[in-house]
Amino acid sequence: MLEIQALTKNFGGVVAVDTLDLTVEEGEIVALIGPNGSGKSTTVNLIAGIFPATSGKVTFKGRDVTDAPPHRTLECGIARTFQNIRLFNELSVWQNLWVAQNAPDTRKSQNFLKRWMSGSAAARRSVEEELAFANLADKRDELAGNLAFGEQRRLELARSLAAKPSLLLLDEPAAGMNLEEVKALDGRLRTLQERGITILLVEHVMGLVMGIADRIAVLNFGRKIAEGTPAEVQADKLVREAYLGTTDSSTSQAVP
Amino acid sequence: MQFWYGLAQLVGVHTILGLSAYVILQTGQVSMAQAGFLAIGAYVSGMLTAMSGWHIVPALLVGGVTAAVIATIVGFPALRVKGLMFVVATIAFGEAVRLFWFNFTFQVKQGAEMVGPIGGEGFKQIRYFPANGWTDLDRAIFILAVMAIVMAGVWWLDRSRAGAVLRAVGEDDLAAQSVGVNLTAIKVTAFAISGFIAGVGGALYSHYTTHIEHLNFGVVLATFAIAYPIVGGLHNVFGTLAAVIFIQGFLVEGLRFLGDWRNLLFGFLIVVAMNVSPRGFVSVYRELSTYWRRRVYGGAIFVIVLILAGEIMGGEIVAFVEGLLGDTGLEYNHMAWVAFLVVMAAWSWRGLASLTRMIPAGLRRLAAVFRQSLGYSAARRPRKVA
Repeated sequence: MLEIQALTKNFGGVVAVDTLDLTVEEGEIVALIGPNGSGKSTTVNLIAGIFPATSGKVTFKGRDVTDAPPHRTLECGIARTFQNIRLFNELSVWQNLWVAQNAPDTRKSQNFLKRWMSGSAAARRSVEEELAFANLADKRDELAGNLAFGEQRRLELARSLAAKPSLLLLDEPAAGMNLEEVKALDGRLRTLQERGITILLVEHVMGLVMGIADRIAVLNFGRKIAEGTPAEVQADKLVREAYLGTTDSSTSQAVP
Repeated sequence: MQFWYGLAQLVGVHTILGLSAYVILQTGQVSMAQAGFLAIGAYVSGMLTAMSGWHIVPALLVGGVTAAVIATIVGFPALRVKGLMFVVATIAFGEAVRLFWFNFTFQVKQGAEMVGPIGGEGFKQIRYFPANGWTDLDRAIFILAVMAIVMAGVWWLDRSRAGAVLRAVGEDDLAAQSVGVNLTAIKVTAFAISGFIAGVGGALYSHYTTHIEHLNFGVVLATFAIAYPIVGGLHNVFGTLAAVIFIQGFLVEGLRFLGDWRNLLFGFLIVVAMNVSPRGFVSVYRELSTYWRRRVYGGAIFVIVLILAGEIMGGEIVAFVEGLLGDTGLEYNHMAWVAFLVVMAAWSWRGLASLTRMIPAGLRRLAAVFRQSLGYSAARRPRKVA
């Protein structure tokens, strides 16, 4: 579904992503892990089209989306969330989802005025569905900026889902969450997988990643150092050295 | 009454100008080009009515459309930059428009006289209103009606999905892009809409002043254009109207008796207004209790009734009161003040009571604002730990 070939991004002299190859198949949950600064978020931003790649190619469903701007990649069916929550704080919860209605299947067969004035009936229904799915139906008229942290995370996810994507890029969706919230997120992501949405997940919370991911790719200094099932990655010597830590260092197991 | 009709026309034109800036400010862009669009609308429509003999309504629309087309052309390069760079780019555009009219001379012969703009001397023969026998009241009604239509349009836009998209772009353009908003298209469209509105406002402006010149459309007017929606608040179109009445009605006209000191106080009062209501007049209104909202409505109605009564039958009232007083040595003025105070007190004795609480509270709030703006806050200063 998503194919990344030899993707490279230089910021000045720094090589943030270095000839990365990655394939995501339909219906999969693929996780991207690695130490801070290893190029995970840059990869997500490159796929979403926030900035152009230095070289390499990204194809999605057979279409070249390498240098497509974000609204174009969204139309192709790629939605994303941000590492640090980026909501429209002065808009209400409902309006946040209302804005995100530009995907082709919500856009076709509705006239111009309808689309810009109120959104089609189907689009409004999908807003209601996503609000209910995110457990925010009772907060619909509150300003997004006034929500609690966990609710803001859920709202951001709901907003990206309102555009009816087929691929979801999640940039550290569990950052700052407590165990219970992570568990809820785990369940939510599994439901999304059942709905047929493919997920590319960037995450540091290993409890979540190891349980949910079908495949894991590990980055270090912009290069992919390992790829495989959670078990394979956990067993990989390079990965343990670079990121997960070795069992004989007691600190990595020190969480009570 | 003449004065009030003139003020109504002024408020109408400036509210339209403010609303044009309101639209583009929604997308987070501070545009200093509004005076330029106003100038385009003013000259184009003036030329159409004075030189080609058009009716005012189509001239109004063509003036607006011309400004919108130029806004679209300018918008594509200008909106590639944002923030301060956009401000600089739009100031440059506004000045370019002003200097264009400074150099633009185009006259036609109508009967014995030459009609049309003459460069630096301006455009003097926009006599549509007097030539067609419109009274001051007709003009005021016409201008306020156009203002109401524009206001309703912007209000509607504000509540539509398009309005939410504009606000989303203003809040966080990266996030807006990531949920499928085509930034360039949205920003240029907003700029074109704001250009259209300013063009219509300019058309009204040139017709009610009958004489325009390039100096009318400088940076000061552009600053006013963005000051109205910012002072009024970017959440509701009525804030812009309130700000125009506050700035044009109270600060510019109402303080005229202060002479040149007015300009000093003018700046000071704008700063105070911004500090007391950083999110605009509308937000202050929203925080008011129902009790105080009624006072705001009532106060406005009271002032309007007072003005109307004074204008329509001021002489009769004075003569009647003087006749009652006879030779008691008291004059009308004393009685008017007493009556005013009695009415105020009777009308809201509880209001006056809470006023005594509000004034010290307001002063404390102001003092706190100024302390903070100086970077001084006793409560927050970290204590030294030995």
